[in-house]
Order: sequence, then C-alpha cells, then structure tokens
Amino acid sequence: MARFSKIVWVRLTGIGAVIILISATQSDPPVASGPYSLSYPEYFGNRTYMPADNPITKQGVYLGRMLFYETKLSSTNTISCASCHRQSLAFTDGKAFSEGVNGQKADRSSMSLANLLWVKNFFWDGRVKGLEEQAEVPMINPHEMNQSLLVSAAKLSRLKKYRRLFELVYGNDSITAGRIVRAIAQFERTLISSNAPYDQYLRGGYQATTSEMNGMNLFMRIPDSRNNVRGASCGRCHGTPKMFIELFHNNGLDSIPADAGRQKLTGNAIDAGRFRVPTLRNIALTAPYMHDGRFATLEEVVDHYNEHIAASPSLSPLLQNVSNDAEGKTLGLTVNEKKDLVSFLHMLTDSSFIADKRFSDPNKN
Amino acid sequence: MQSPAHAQTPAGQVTIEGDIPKTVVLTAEQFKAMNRITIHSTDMAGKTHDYSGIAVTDILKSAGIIQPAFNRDNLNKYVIVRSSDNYEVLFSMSELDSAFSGRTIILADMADGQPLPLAKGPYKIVIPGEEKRQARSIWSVTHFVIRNSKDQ
Repeated sequence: MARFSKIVWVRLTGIGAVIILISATQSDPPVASGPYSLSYPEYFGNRTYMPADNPITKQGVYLGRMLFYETKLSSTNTISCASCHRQSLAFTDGKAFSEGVNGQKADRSSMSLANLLWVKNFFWDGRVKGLEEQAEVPMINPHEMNQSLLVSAAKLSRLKKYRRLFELVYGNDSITAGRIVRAIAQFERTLISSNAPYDQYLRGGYQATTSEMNGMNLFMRIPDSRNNVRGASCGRCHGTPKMFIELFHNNGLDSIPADAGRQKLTGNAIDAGRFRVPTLRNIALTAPYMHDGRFATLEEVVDHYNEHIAASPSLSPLLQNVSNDAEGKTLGLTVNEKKDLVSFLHMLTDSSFIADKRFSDPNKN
Repeated sequence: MQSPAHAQTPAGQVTIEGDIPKTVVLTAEQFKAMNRITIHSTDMAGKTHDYSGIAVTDILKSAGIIQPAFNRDNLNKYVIVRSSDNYEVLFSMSELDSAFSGRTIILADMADGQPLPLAKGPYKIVIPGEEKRQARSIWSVTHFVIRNSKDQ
C-alpha cells in the first residue's frame, strides 16, 4: 500500500484561516487540525469550565469522539461510553440503572451529557471537578467498563490508527491515561444543545402554543395566591436558558433517603438526600427520571413536585411553603396546568442535537 | 473517587480564602465570641424577623482583609459567598463596608432567638433593605472567596 504525506493549504474566504490536512495512507480520511471554535448562544453565558492545559482542538475532538465510541476501553470489549450515553437519547440510555460488563448494574442513573461545558461538579453528588477527572471513573469502575487506564492505553497502543491520532494530537504517539481522558473531555465539551423550540422562542421566530406559553409561565413563576399569580416555581432550581442552576438540593423524594447522595461525601446532615440539579434540556428524551430513575414519565415527575414532596430536615427550602392556594400545603396545580407544564418541557427537545453527525458514532458514518 | 480540590466543610465552619495571604477557617466557637449585632428583616412571605449575627466586614477583618474605606485598592475586590448547596452570590467589597453603603450586611446564625433551621443554617446572609428580592440572601454559607477584578 502506498504511503504518502500530503499537505494542502486552503484559504477560507473572509477568515484567512488555514487548514492542514495530513493524509498518512490513501484509505484514511484526513483529520482536520487547529483550534476548535465552540459556538453557543449569548444567553448561555461564558461561565464555562475548561482547564488551561486542555484547550479544545479539532484533532483532539476527533480523537475524543473515537475514544467515546471505543468498546476496547472495556474489559470485555463490548462497552464504550456511548453504550450508556446514547446520542439518540441525548446521551442517556433509557434505563434507571445501566448495566456494565457482565450485566452488573450501576448505582445511579446515567446522566445526559448535553452542555457539560457549563457544569463544574460532576456525577449526581458532584464529587468530581472537571470532565478530565470524571472520564476515568466509569472506565475503571468494575460495574461499568471495568478496565484500568493502563490496560486501555496498552490496547490502544497496539493499533496504528490510535498511535497516529495520539501523535497528531499530542506530538508523539505515547498513549497515556491523561491523554485518553483529555481527548474524551475535549469531545464532551463540544456536545452543545441549543436549538430546541425553546431556543428558537428565545431568539424570536417560534410561535408557542397557548399551552406551551402557559407552561412556560408556570415553570418560571413563583405562585402568589394573594396576587392571583399561578406558578410552579421550577425556575428556582431549573431556571436560566441552560435549564439548571448548579445546586445540590433535596427535592423531597423520600423522608429518609435510601441513597444519602452528597451526605456520603461530606458527612453533614444538611446534605442528606441532596443531589445535583441537572439540566432539563431534552428532558422528554431522557426518561426515567431522578438519580434512581424512579419516575418513568414527565407526568409522574410533575405529580411528585405537585403533591408528593416528602418532608425531611434537609428538604430544599425552595420546595417548602410553595402553593397556589392560600395556606396550601402542596403546590396545587390543576390538571390542565400540569399538562401545560409538560407541553413546555417538550419545547426543550433539540432534534438537531440528537442527529448531529459531529457527535455520532464514527464507525457508523 | 474524590477530587483533592473538593474540600469538605464540617458544619459550623466558614472558610475565608482567595486573594488573601492565608486561608482562614472560622469555627463556630470563634464566631460566637465575636461582636454580635441584631437587625430586622422581612422575609419573602412578609414576616419580619430579628436576625442576630456578625457583620461580614468583621468576619473578613478577622482574616486580615482591610475595608476599602481604609485601603482604596480593595475598592476593586469582590467577594463570592458560597453555600453548602453550591449556590454562589457576588458582593462588591465596598457594598459590604457600611462606610460606603450605609448598611451593615451580616452573617446571621440566629433568627428570633433560635438557631436557623437545618436546611438554611448554620449561617445565612441578611441584607438590610434588600427585601424585595432575596436571591442574594444566601443561606447555609460555607465560604467567602475574595477575588481581585483585574483585567484579564
């Protein structure tokens, strides 16, 4: 097979940018190189989390995507990150508890990977800072991919395509744990979901239905029966266009939580049953809901917040004394208001995100 | 697996860190020994409470932070107050200084003679005059992070 290196200079109109295409063999597609330009709406804000020592490059993202879909990173060669984080489900897997190698179950539900660029503390209990540090955990967990990064590095080193890519990204073909997780983190930071009907509404140009508008208003408003303001108060934790505020709150699932959540880390009573508030973007795709996947439908979730909140000393103050009825003990939404709320939640589904080829399995393109 | 950067704060403790010579940890005992003041404030439900605690400027002073009234450089510093639930709120250094703002923002540990309820305690910020919107009346305070607003 003939091998050659070919460098093509291309000038892009208006940018004057240069793309270097390096082709090692005639059959391999060229890998674009250079800084990766992240694109997101102004209303997401710039409070993003990117370490200085892992800037996002096109080649880094390319490698990261390959690793994300690479089953050789598991001890049985059957599970990749994408097994429990499927693009069609906004990078969740439709299960309460995912199964790892040999069918063993994880202890909490797979979280969606949309818009993690804005998240600082990862996992349901926020125990890890940074995507680089997060990536290692499922890979080495015996109930998930069950393979040390040393073994993963050794397996990848046997493959020419990976030696080439690591050299392209890092300057030499040494494959290490750090280089593996940094590439995966780069890819994950590009998973930006910002084109749902709600985004189109925010940018102008989406005609919301009456039900959707009513649902949106209920979502954002705190109820005030004295002034006839109907509300569901969701925005206090799930507000901002990113549809989350990074808080650890106990949302009243149980009076005595089976899973202590953040209390396992801190040992503090105030953290009992506290979990990270995740984004509601694409929520219609990411059932089942909560850290243990106990709710199968959005209707069940709304019912929970409306009338099933369990009291406990660490219950979020934001879920206490919130009612549409004067002296009411529960939220008090009507049947139609609950339907409207669910209509609004469906506005958060970004069908372009789940079909975007840049995030898809490279082995299936 | 825990991140080394993930410092746990035992209940009752407040950490003061950031653009200061040394991180300082204020314990519950030290808090109780400081100069206590009481202010009245109305909550979002319309009820008035007596909040008792320590002026935030006194807490920062105990960590060696000089107020802008005495050091003009500190006019461009700000404080991020963080809660055990990860909520964060920004205050400018000057608005914490009653010499500038005419009001004393306190870190309260008691409301109406009782310790704060668990989910809001042990300490919360009370801002006189900022009762219409209380998004900055952050509860369960664990950290004061001092930062310098220099040009990036």
